[in-house]
Order: sequence, then structure tokens, then C-alpha cells
Amino acid sequence: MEKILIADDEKDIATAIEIYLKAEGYETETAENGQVALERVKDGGIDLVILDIMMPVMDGITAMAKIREFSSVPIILLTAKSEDTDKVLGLTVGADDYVTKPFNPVELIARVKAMVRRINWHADAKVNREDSSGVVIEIGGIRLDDSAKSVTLDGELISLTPKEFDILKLLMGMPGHVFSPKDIFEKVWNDTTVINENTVAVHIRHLREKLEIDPALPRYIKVVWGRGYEFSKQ
Amino acid sequence: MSKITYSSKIRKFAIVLICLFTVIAVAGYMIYALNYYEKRDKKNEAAKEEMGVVVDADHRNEIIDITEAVVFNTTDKLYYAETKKGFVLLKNIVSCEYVETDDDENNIVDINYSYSNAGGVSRYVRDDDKSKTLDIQGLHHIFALGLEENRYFLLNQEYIERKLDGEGFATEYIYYSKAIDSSKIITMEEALSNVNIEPKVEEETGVISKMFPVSDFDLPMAIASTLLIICLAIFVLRSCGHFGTEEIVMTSYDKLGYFIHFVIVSAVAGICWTPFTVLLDHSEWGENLEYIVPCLLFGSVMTVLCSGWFLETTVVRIKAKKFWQTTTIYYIYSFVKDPIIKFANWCKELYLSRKDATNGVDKLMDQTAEIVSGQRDSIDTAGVDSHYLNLAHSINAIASGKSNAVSAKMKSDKMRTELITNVSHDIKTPLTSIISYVDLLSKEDLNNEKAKEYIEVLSRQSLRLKTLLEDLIEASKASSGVLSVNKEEINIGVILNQVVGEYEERFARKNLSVVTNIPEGTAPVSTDGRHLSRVIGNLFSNIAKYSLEGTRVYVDVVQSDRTYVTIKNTSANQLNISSDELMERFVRGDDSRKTEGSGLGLSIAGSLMTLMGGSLNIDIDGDLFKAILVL
Repeated sequence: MEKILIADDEKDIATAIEIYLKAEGYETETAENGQVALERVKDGGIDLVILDIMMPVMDGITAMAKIREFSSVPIILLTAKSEDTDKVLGLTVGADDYVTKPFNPVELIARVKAMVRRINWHADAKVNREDSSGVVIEIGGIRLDDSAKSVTLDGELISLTPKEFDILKLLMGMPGHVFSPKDIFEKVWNDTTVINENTVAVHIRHLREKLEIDPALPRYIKVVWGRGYEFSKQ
Repeated sequence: MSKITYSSKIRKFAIVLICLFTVIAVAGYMIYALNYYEKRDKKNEAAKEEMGVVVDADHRNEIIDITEAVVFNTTDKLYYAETKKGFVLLKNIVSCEYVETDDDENNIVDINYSYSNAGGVSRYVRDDDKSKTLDIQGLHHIFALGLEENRYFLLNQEYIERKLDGEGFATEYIYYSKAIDSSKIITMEEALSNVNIEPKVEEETGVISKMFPVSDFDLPMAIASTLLIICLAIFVLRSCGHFGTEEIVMTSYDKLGYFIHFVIVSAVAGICWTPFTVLLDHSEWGENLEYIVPCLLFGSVMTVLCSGWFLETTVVRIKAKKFWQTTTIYYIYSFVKDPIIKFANWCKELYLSRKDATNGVDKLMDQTAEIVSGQRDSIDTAGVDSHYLNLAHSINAIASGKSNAVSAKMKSDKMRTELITNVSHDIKTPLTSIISYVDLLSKEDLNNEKAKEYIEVLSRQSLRLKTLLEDLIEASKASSGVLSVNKEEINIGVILNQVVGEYEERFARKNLSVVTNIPEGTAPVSTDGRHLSRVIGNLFSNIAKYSLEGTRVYVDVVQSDRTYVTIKNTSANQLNISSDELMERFVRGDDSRKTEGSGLGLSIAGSLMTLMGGSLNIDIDGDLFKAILVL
């Protein structure tokens, strides 16, 4: 079973996370600051790190930067700072995901599970990928198989309606390109006479709810307000 | 100027010469003129006698001047003359002067200095039934013509006596003269021959010619003298001012006022003419010539001298370039110069100060406007007119007070935001623990229904605390302006649909339908899409929370100089609160306190709109809740 390192100077929080993760069957270890966490990762055997940013001795960002010098172990940042700049900084330095405090434990566990699934899936995929025929688009944890009309998120099959699938295929075909609701409607519905852009918005929301852990803070399908939607380039 | 110096002796000699030549010239001209006129007068008289004047030949009581008439035929010794009035029958040819009267009273008529003709005489003859004597004193050489009897009388001197026939016509005229002892009856032929005789006047009336006989040299001599006078005058005037020096010397007289000089010269000249004029007034023609002529010469010489005098000082003044300074106008000018200059300066100063004042005010106004618009911090007092310095300082004081207040407010806003953010962050950690442990607790196997219920409350309230905390941070950030604004071209229709899509499910739960009215051709708006989506989201969130079930939500877009997005919905509860209060933080309608939410939604929305340079206006009309976004 995967071993998860929880680095948080707040003992109660670290303990709570431990309880949740243990309940899910993971092995856990705790570190009270960045320095300790860094040492522990160096020692090896850690599959995932949950790293709090604000810690004494060495903060989470510094610790993560140092870890990244020798290891690509997945890191989920825990942050009380919800400013965009902090998130961007965290992701730039090398975090795989982040959860802002005060977090809902269910969300944290969901992110941990998704992360673990992806590690395992990537390992499996190397074997399985050869089998896939037809067009397969793979971005981040999402794998879209056009021939099989199937979509997996971190290796887990996601059930999508045909329209949702078409929309996802369109967006994933050009990551980073902003599709206006009109574009999407025309291309997916193949109808230029009656354009109901509202329908697109609703479908996108449903798609996000299925693909994102926190639909309000989507990682894959981003809303470009006033212009349309895009699939994040990762 | 001339370098020549002139000896004053030569000048004096020249002046004497001028006087001498003046005498010669005046005498020459006088003799020539007097003789000329006398001769001309005599000629005129003779001519008049030849031509004559016919009066009232047709008894029309009119005097007709026939001086220039052409005389015709002399058949029957009747003459016709063509006059301006047509042909006139001249029954009588007379000499120049006649008697005419309208006097029907047949009185004695004084014809002194009167002129008449023989035609009139005939009328007298006719009208005058009594033989009267007409006084014709003062007349010379009158030829009277008889009528029927062709008798003519030479009237030498003073009296005419008429002899009348039975019908009252004059039969003959008898003249009594001092010169002629008895009347002399002459025939028509004699009379006519007399008319043509050149009057022998020279011996009797040629006073002047007798005294100053005309010589052929009079005129040339006078002209030559005049030329000499002019030459001498030029010399004298050229030399004037140079009294033995090269410089122009102005005597004290030369400095005297020009007008006074003019008056003096005129007076002297006038006085010199007095003897002449007085004598002339008291003398008959030709009398006292032995006195008049010297007076005339004296007057003439003095006039020439005065003219020289007048010209000399004028020339000196002009030469010294002081002419202008001695004139009366200059005196008046120099007298009023200072007051005028003072007045002009005063006007100029007044104008400049007015101009300065206006400029100063304009400058002040410009700079004040710049302070208001934030382009400058204070008024540059260096260029401010002294009148407005206090005002400028006052404005500066206000401006610095305002900017201090603004920066203080900004500082305090920022500090407050930081405080809220920091405190919030500090609260977040324990809150995370609370949420986690409440959740853990809820998963524990508790055989106590009440405990479970309480844990449920704890869970709900801790999550609400989390929402509140997040909204609080956002609200403080939005209102203090620390959030950045990234403006892009935003399609209003798209963003509205996107937000409607997000809330579709929540609206559906309350059976709310959205009616969107976006006119075709609505131009994209430059604004921050993320902030705007948050604003619309907050409004939709409120609508989802507070709208009456089954009602419609209207979204209208109107574009003029700005873009207006109006969102209208019907409130489920009575809106017993003003729109201003609604915008404030943590304010909610009384009834809505029971529902979820922080009470910061509208406040955040308003702050974000302000941040983006727009505004959010709330309008409440009964149960109609209207939010107007001005982009």
C-alpha cells in the first residue's frame, strides 16, 4: 500500500488527515516541518506528500523546491493562502495539486485518491497503451479513446453522454484554444439555425462535475469568462 | 548745416536793401495798378455810354440792362436792341444812366445815385402833368433824349427842366448847368455824335495819373525789385541763427512761444498800416495823396520787415530743431503730457492687472482642475498673482489635506485588508481542524440520537463559518482595491449564458426561468471577465436564494455610451429594506437571515464593479428587485 507523508506543523490537522487516509487503507507518516519532511523523502519509500506551506524551520515551498531537485514524488500542497499567485507559485515550483484551508476532508481524500490512481494508472498504461487502436487523446489524468468512445479519469472510467463526449473531444483536440459557446454548439450539434448557447453552458457544467474534483476550481475544463471554454494545457 | 559764418554787417546791409527795394517795388506796383484801374474805369464808363441801358421801352416798368445788348438799325432814328428779353424798341438812345420810377404820384424824384434811362424819361413826360424839376445832382454826362421833337439835351451838370405840350408830353427839356449858362438844344445827330465822342475825362478826373504819371518802367522796375528782395531774403534767412558761429544760436526771443511771436509780428504789422487805413477812410478819391502814399509805403516796408522777422525766427527754430518745442500745441502738450502719461500708465496698469488677474484665475482654475483630476498634487505658487496667493495656498492646503486623507484612508484600507486576511488565515487552521474532527466525529458510532443531531449542527455551522471567512476575505480585498483588474474584450451575451449555465440547476430547483434580452450587434465590453462573472454569479446566487418560486428572471442588455445590464427578479419575501442598506456588508433582509450566505454577496459585487470602473445600482420597487450593472 502507498505510503503518504503528511507535513504539517499543526499536530491536530496532521492527525486528522492521518485518520482519514488510514481509513482509506493508506500508510501514513507525519513531519512537523519542511526540514523533517525533506529528510524523510530523501530516505525514500514515500509515494505521496501532503505538504503544508506555512511551517516553521522550513516552509512548504522551500521544502518542495528541494524535494524536486532529486525526486518526482507527487506533492499536494495544503495552503491557507487562497490567492491565485500563491497557487501559481506552488504549481510552478512543482506541486501536482493543491487544497486550500479550510479544506473539506472529503475533498482532500478525493484528491489523494485521484493522485494515487494516476500513479498506478501511468504504470499500467505503459503496458495497456499498445492495445489501444484508433485515436486516443491523453492530457493530464484524462484519456479519451475516440474509437471506444470511452473516457477515463486517472484510470477510472467516466460515464459521459454522447454530447458531453463530443464536447470533451472538441476541447481536448485543441488544448489551450478558447471555444466560444457558439463554436461548440455549431460543431457538436451540427446546427447553425437554432443556437442555444445556454445548452452548451449546462453541458460544460455537467462535464466539469464529472471530471473535476472541485468543479468551482476546475483543473481541466476552464471557463474563460465572456469568451468561452478551453481545455487546460497542463 | 552750413559751415559759412556771416558777418552781421552784411546782414544788416541786406535788410536795409530789402527795405529800399520794397519801397521801389511797392511804388512801382502802386503806380501801375492805380493807373491801370483808373484807365480801365474810364474805358468802362465810355463803353457804357456807348452801349447804354434801356429801361422799360414798352412801359412795362422794367429795367433792362442793355449794356451788352447789340444795337441794330437806326432807321427813323429808332434803335432796336436785342436783349436777353428779346427785341426792344429803343425810342431813345441814351447814355449810361437813366432815371426810372414807378412813382405815379408824380412827385419830385430824387435820382441821386440812381440810374435810369431815357425811356423812363418818356414816361415821366407822359405821367407828369406838371412840370417838375428832377434833381439829378451827382450825375455826370447824361444825355437826355426828347421824343417827338427829336430834341436832345446835353446834361452837363445839375438841372433839367421839361416843357410839356398840351397832352402832357414833354416838348423839351431845359437843363440848367453851372457849366453851361443856358440850355443848349442839340439835334439827334449832335447827340449821336456826342455819344461816340471819347469822354474828355483826363483833365477832370485823372487824379492819380496827374500825380504819378505812368511810365513804361514802373512794372519792370517793381518786378526786378521783388526778385532782388527774394534773393536778399534767402540770404538773410540762410544766415540767420549764425551770429559769427557755426552753431545755431537761439536768442531768448527764439525761445519765445511761437504763437506769441506770431501775435507780436501781426500786431506790429497791423499798427504800421494804421495811418494808411485811417487816412484812406477820411479821404475822398484822390485826396490827401501826399500823406496816403508815404503811409502806404511805410506799411508795405514794415510788412516786409515783419515778414522777415517772422520768417527769421521760424527758420532759426527749424534749424535748431526746436520749432516744435516752441509751439503752443507743444506747450499745451508739455503741460498735459505728464497727466496724460500718468493716466495712460494707470490705464495700462489697470489693464495689465486685470489681464494678470484673469490669467491668474485661469491658471488657478486649470491647476485646480488638474488637482481634482489627480494630475497634480498642488498649485505652483511661483507663477500665481499676488492677489490670489492666499487662495492658492488655501487650495494647496485643501489638496494636501485631501491627498493626506486619501493616502491615510488607502493605508488604513490596506491595513484593514491585511488584518482581515491575516486574521482569517489564522482562523483557517483551527477551522480546518474543527471541520475535520466534526466530520470524524460524525463517522463515529454514537448510540445517541441527540449527539448526532448536535454534530449535524456543528458540521453545518462550521462549513458556514468557512464560507463566511472566504467571503470576508474576498469582500475586504475587493473593497480595498488590492485585486488586480485584467480587462479584455468580453462578450456580454456569452458571459451571461455561462453564468446562467452555472446556476441552471439551482434555478431549476426553484422553477425560475431566465428571460434574456440581448440586442443583436451588442458590442464587446472591455472588462475583467472573472470579476464580472463573480458579480453576476453573486446576483444569480441571491436570485436563486430569494426569488419567489416559479417566477421569471429578466436579463436585459442596453448599450449606449456605456453598457447596462439589468437583472430583475421577484422577491419571495417583502423587501423591507432600502437598496443602500442592502449594499452594505452583512446586511440581509430579516427573513433571509435564516438562509445560507454571508450577506457579503452584494457588497462584493458592488466593490468589484467599482474596481472595474463601473457601478452596481440596486433598485427596489415593491417585490421587484432590480440590479443594474453599469459597465
